[in-house]
Amino acid sequence: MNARDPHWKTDFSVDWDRTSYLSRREFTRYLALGSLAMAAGSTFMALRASFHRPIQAPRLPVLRVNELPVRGTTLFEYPAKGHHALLISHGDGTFDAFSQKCTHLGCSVFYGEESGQLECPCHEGFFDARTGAVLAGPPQRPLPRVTLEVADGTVYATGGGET
Amino acid sequence: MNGRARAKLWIVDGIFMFELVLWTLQLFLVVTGLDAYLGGQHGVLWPAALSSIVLALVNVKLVSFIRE
Repeated sequence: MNARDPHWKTDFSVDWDRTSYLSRREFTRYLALGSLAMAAGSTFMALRASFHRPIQAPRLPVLRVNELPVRGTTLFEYPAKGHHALLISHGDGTFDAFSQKCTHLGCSVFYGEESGQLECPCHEGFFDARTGAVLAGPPQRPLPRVTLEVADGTVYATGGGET
Repeated sequence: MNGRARAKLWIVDGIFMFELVLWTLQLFLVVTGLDAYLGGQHGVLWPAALSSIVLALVNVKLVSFIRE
């Protein structure tokens, strides 16, 4: 510091030479480390997928027909615990069910009653509530459908859903 | 800065630029792989992983050319 320096230099005295300085060489090395980490991550995903066993889809009762909402959704777990699915009553007596996991990055979709579409709040993906097809947004694949069957006044999930 | 030092700086800058391009490619592979993994499309994961490993090895080799 010298006498001609403005007063802020004494109030906020940061000496650039004394602060930690990352050289281009060091930064390039960090890039290489990041590169190795990304390769490890990609390999981990590939390995995990190789050992992935598809879940056997059982025949599970979801709810009684008289418990179906007139228009709205019922959340249930299918094909296994922790795998959420949505049963959607469209209001005209028909209903469909889909996996709740968005096919983009796995966020939970919800049913927008006003729009009549399934919506992913994370990146604004929209799906058709009757077919599961992508209507808008970043998802590239439709939502996996859960096949339903009505027998003896009960709605059964019989297959499909998140694999 | 003499001519030799200037040449060294050019080499480090060149390596840095190459690294940056390869790193961006790898980032694309990771994001695409994650998308495919979460979507249950497992067919692309091994090609993406192998490409990523090759890119990482090239990056490490490039860094090994840089001396203190």
